[in-house]
Amino acid sequence: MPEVIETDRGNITISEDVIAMLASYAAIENYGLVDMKGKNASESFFDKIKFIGTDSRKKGVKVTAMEDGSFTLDLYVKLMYGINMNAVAKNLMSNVRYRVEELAGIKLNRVNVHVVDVWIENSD
Amino acid sequence: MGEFTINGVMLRDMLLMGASVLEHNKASIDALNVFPVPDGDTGTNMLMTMQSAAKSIKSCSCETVSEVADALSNGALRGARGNSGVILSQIFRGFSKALKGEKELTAKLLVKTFTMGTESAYKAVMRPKEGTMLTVIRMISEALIKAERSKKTLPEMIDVILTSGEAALKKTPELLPVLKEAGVVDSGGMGLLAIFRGFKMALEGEVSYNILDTAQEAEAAEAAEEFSEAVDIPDTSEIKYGYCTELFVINLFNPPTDEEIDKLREKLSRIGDSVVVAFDEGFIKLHVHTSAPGKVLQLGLCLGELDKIKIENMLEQNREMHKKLKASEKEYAIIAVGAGEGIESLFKDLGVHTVITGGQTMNPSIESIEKAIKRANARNVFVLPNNSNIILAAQQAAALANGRNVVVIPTKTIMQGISAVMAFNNDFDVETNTSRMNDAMNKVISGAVTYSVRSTDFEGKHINEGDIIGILNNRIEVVGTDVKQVSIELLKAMIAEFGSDDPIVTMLYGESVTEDDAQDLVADLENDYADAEFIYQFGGQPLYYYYFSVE
Repeated sequence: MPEVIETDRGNITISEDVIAMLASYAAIENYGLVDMKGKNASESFFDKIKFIGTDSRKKGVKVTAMEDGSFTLDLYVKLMYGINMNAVAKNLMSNVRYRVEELAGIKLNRVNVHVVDVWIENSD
Repeated sequence: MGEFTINGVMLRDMLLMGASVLEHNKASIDALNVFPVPDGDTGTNMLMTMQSAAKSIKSCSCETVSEVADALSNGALRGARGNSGVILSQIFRGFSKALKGEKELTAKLLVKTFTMGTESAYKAVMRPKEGTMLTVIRMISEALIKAERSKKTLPEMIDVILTSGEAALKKTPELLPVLKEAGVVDSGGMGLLAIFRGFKMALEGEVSYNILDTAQEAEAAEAAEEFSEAVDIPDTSEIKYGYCTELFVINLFNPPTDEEIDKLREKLSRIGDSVVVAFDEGFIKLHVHTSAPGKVLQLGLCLGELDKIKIENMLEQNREMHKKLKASEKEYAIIAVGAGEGIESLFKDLGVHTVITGGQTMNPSIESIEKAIKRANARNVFVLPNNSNIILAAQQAAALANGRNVVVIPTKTIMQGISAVMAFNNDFDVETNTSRMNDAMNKVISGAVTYSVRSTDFEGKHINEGDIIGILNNRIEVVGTDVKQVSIELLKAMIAEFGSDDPIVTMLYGESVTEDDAQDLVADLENDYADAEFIYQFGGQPLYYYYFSVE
């Protein structure tokens, strides 16, 4: 269900795909994150096909519309090894929330960060 | 003597000093923060990260640079907070990798350390953003690589870190538009430089918490020229410790332990301040401001032989500076309060020494006025508050400026201030100037056009929020909804009050008004007042569309 913003001159709709793209872009800018992950072992097969688009621009983001008109985002991320994951996840939440709310003018309920992979350098 | 190197103890001192410089600059770094979320806590986040690193360094019994860097990296990792903190921890991670297994830091190794710190920092982000602390660390590394080719020594390299870092920091607004819009440099980069400044301080015993050292020196030099070297020099009586004492202890009887170094530092802080104790293989460097330099020498003698002793009399240096200042003292200076670039440059053109930014909604503090009075370095200082709310502060500041004759001309408006300045003449004595300026101020009829910030009733007139109001000599005279209409009515009232039909009308238009608007207004009025002379000029003042004067 796309987000609809009503104005007196007409309605603006923002699709969930666009919200996912904004979130993905904001996440990629975040320091400590090395990739967005489409795959997640813990998800059921059905969940997987729901949000693994072929579109890499929204990779790793699941958008869920809430009853009160807000959205919950789930971010599936790969982080750098040797970094404070807790700190990075917190930054991710606040940066993504700020960007998406600012740019799309929508309200986010929760931003969940799922660290599903970690990148370990060979030389480590 | 072989190459100058940095051992573990020294690196430890450098990093701890870095944390302390960061702490001193936390607030100013926070104030720069605009990116990516304008929440203003980069300084705080970096400091928390750095403090965690400092704690880890302090609690380890590290001896080699490898061990110190490990403690640094682990502490920063655990305590990382915010984006800037995570990046910092990642830079330190690179540092510790580069120093793995090393006992001492050489110039060559320093280059490797910064290169790996940069690589490590860039690795942990998919889309590195330039114009941030990433740019700063990268440009420092690049400068270090160049410096290595020209065979610079380690202390010279530390200078390279600071100068190239500063240059990189100044470039950040060009790379990141959001910084340029806000007119600031990157806060994370600034924090990074604060830490590196601590390196130099610990190494050379120089105490200066200014991050942008050379920039500030340049500014200070400029200011000194302008203000004839009148910067804030403390009164001689304010100097608590009179002797800057510095010496090396060589051929140590016993190599001191960390605790002994700490104890020495403590002893020195009891007899003075600005204490630096640095220990390197074979020698200890002591630096302290104290009133008992003999005791410092004695302390040194207990440890080994003394070398390169330098004791400077700071009291005499201070006296000389005061003498110099006295010699360049002027007869007169004028200080005016005002806001808006046009108004500032107008005052400066008229010979005003210092313009303190302030006005209706932002009254300058007594302290800032007092400072300006001191800096003016003149025997007689005239202060023009240019606002009825600032007169009292100006008078109080005048009372604090001992040794100088300060005269507050109680100007209530910018226009009164301008007239007063124009009446001033350098060749007249203080009394004549005072009375001339007061006369000029009283002759002016001042007007201002602004808007109402709330609904109110004033002398039977109802004013809505957002209404345009015309003020004549601090009294609301005209209320309307159109700037031009209100301006015309106000000027008519002012000219009527002046009581002659050939007045000189001066207008300063504000930041929200264009020159065309002002021209348009003058064209309309010239039809009605053929004999009057109209002058309009850019004032750039906030909040007020126009300031008018009729005289």
